[in-house]
Amino acid sequence: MIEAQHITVRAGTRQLLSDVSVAVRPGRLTVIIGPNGAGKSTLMKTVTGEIRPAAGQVRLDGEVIQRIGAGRLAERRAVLPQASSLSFPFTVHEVVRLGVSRLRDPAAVRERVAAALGRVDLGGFGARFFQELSGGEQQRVHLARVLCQVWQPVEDGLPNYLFLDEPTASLDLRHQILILDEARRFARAGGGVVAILHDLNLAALYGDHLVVIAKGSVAAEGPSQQVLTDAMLRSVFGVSLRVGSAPADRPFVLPHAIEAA
Amino acid sequence: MALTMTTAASAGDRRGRARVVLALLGVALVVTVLLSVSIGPSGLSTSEVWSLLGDAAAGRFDAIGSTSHVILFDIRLPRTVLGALAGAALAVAGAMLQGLFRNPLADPGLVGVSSGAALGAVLVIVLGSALITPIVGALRIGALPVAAFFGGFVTTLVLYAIATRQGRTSVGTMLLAGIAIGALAGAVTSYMVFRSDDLQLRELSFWSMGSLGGATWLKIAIAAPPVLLVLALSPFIARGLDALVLGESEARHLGIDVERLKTLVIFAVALAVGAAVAFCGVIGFVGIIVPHVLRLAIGPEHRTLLPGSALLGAALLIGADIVCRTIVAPAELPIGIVTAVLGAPVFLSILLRRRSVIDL
Repeated sequence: MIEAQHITVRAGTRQLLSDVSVAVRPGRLTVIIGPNGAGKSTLMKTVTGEIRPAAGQVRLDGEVIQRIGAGRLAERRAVLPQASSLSFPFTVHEVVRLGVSRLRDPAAVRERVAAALGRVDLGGFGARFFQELSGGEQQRVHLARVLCQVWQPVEDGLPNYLFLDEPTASLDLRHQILILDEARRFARAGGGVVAILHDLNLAALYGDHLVVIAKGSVAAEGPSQQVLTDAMLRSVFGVSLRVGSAPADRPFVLPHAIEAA
Repeated sequence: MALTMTTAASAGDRRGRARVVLALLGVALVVTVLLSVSIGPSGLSTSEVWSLLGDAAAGRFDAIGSTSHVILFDIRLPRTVLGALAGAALAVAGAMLQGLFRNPLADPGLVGVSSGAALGAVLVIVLGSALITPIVGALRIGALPVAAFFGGFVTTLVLYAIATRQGRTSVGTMLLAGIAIGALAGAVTSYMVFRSDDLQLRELSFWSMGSLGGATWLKIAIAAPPVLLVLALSPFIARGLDALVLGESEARHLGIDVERLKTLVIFAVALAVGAAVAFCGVIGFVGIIVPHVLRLAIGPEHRTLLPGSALLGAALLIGADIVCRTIVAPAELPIGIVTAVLGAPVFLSILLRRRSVIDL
């Protein structure tokens, strides 16, 4: 389990997070939601060990995360960045291979890369240049890389963790579902997943556990049925919307109804 | 079916091709070395060179002391070996610097690292003899690369500190800061030239454009260890530099100790450039041409790019030196002219093809 205990993060005089405690449990998909600038990414960066909190601690299985070396940490958790550009002409295969760990045999590495690309619906994209792909395709290449890094959700009895910062941001509907299915599969198999999502419907559909961040604190957390309420939408997002009621006069699409073809 | 599966899985994997290219580069380097020791103004014939080399290989040194022997083993061979060392060092330093700055335009010569190293060496030449006269020859020759190393090290550190904020490198800042640092180092160097005596002046004039002339086995013995150390380090740096291409946080998430990697790279670049500049002067553009051409041929992965750069850099500089020695024989062209003529168009072509690399 990864636990953030009473973490406070400051940038200059501004308090980005104040006294936040959250737990990332293996076996479930934790979804972080909240308005822009609430501190979602800061929370993720702190929990992954990238930012050292001014107060409080982040622990992986009881061990303070800053004390774990980069190499050992990388074997336990992988992080999907929001967007990442490349300055050199790497092929898709080469980018994904950067994530492959623990495999030495070149043939096995190649198979792993191909399998990961298949999972993100990019089979046959290996020889394409990363820079020439669309934003959504690049995002999926990175997901394949991240999947390679923690290929087994549970290894030697220890769960691995996936952190996804807005994994669906530049994806079309079909691929949003495909990616979140992949994340859910990882969690069902015993790994821990944390995803920042903006789409509350996707959050409700996929999140086993929702954490609502507002103004640097946890505003609510729990299963979606408890968390997604009219009152929360009004107080956190500042919108007067009704949860669970469809607009009467125009069509709408819910991911719940879509079959990933 | 099994075959098509393998092909599909290996699509985009350029390591097989890279291995072939590395082998070809090895052959090319051997050929250039043989050419280099066979060509010269002294009229030592190619067949004579071959028989001398054959004798040496067989352990026979009958010809020791003869003019031919001296020309081959004390002039041409050290010159060639020094060229190989300097070429490999500059090309590998260029590839590493470009990986560190995540930009194909970072060249030790362009961003002022070489100027910093040259300043260190010039200070030793001018002040060294004034302050600590008489310095023993060997000690002075040893002090040169040390001073050049520190010059290069300080310059790279300053440059990185100025150009990189929160893990993002601004290429515009990098190039402009490099120009400023280069100009500053150049000014101090010019002042040293101004106050130097005739003997020092002769030695100094050679820094401006670079030369492989004056190579001796002693210089090689001093330059080789740092260069070989950098080459030996490169496999350990390679994966980190690949990961760094994604960005600093991504590299950290992939398990790279980024701070240690950066320190190691800056150290290696300073070591390589310092060794090259101390004995060959400032030779520009090798660090740009070589990695750029190789990226086109084998892709940007550092585990093949770095050894490839060493081989091609060595071959390129030896080749350029052959041109310098023959084109206006018996006079010699400064080697920096040849590398600049080759390199400046490469630099411009990178700019034209990918304007986005300069996000000023």
